[in-house]
Amino acid sequence: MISNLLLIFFFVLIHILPVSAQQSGEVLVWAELISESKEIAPNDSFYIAVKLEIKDEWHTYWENPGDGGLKTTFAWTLPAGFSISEPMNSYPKRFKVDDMINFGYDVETSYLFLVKTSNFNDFEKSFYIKTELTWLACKEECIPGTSLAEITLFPTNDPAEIIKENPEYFKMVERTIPTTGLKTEVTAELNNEQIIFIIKDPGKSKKQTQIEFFPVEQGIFSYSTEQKLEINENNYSLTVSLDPMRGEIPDKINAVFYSPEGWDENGDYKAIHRKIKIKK
Amino acid sequence: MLKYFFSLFVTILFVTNIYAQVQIDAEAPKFTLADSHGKEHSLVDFNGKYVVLEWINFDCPFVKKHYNSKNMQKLQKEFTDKDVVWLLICSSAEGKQGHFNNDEINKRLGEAGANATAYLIDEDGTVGKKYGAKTTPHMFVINPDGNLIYAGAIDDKPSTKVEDIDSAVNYVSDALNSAFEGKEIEVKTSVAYGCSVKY
Repeated sequence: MISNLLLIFFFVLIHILPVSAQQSGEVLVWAELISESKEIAPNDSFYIAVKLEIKDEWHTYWENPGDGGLKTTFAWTLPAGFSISEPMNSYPKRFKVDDMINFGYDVETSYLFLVKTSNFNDFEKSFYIKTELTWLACKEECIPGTSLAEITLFPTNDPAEIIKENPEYFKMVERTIPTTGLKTEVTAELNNEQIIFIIKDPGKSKKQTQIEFFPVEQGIFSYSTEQKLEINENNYSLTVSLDPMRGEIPDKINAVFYSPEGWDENGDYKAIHRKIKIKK
Repeated sequence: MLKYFFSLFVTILFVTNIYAQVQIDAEAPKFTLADSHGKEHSLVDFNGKYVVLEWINFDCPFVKKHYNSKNMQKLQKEFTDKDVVWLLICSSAEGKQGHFNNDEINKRLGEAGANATAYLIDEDGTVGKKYGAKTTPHMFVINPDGNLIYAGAIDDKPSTKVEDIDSAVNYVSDALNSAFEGKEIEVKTSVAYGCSVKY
């Protein structure tokens, strides 16, 4: 009788524990794999997202962590012949910790990946996908950790039968990824120890009131100095200081510009991503 | 009409840049700090010698990586044996992570087997901010003329994983060895990685 109760207890426990519970160290980050569809077809592609929930008051890091920190990385286990893209990162938040500036995420964020399937022809076998995340979470102190997330998907030989799962979630995530689309044009010019970005935003009738610049590459800009935004009739001018300890200034800057008002007419896309040649 | 002259300046105030702008091949900022035994050390005391400054916070996982693996202690031993002065500097403010009283830090240094010349206390962060120290570890190398010749990361593998050390290029070691041999230092600056300094 007792052994039966124990079995039931463990069965229930296993099924209520989230996948992210399979992680090392203090639980600060919970990870979940979410697929665009439960069924997949050969020679096809689909999106998969890694959703992170981050413990209150803690934050993880963007691909450029800022002054200290470490970006989250992913090690994938994929079915034979499958491939996966680099992570598409959501736009970050700016955290000020002890006079330092960090770029990252708190509460919740998602990373998007594009998976390409193989030319499989066995439609009886399911597909197992797993990722091991390595993260650094910081509050005042920093704690590194790993989380595992996994998902099983099922084959179909008829792509037309595939039903999109979680369309609202994927739409939301797609909008947090800095877009390379939209008509906003950005130029950059070196001016002594600063870069001046001129942002032309022809597609939007309402003016931006705030623009924040996030450099994708590390070591070029000073993060703790102020960014000066000038709002003009036909454009915005954003002046950003270079890091005095930088190496050579690159020819192009990989940049994200965030605006709380958004860059499209509806304000759905809060961040744009541009590779900008620097006029020296 | 007015709209054609519309121009509004907005400043996004994050923080004022409180960090001095140290430069490679320029004079390293002078300082005097007390060590964990109460003895004062000034940078000028070490004129004529190579000096390594290592920003430290023993509770930072990036620092633990290099101390638990004994990587940092080996480096300290290798270069202090060659008459290099190796100064640990802790800029953690009182009450913040990495700040310890002298008894505690001397105990930790003993347990870690540190081979540094001294552990200097910079709890008001003055020296850290003069150098623009942002992370632990953050490394600086000063030549016998008192000029800064390297600033940045300890190596090229930003991680907390001990297993990354063996395959990493150690920038501090490379800078010192190149300087000893009179060669140009290949990497004079790099992006420091680690926990942010707890000013």
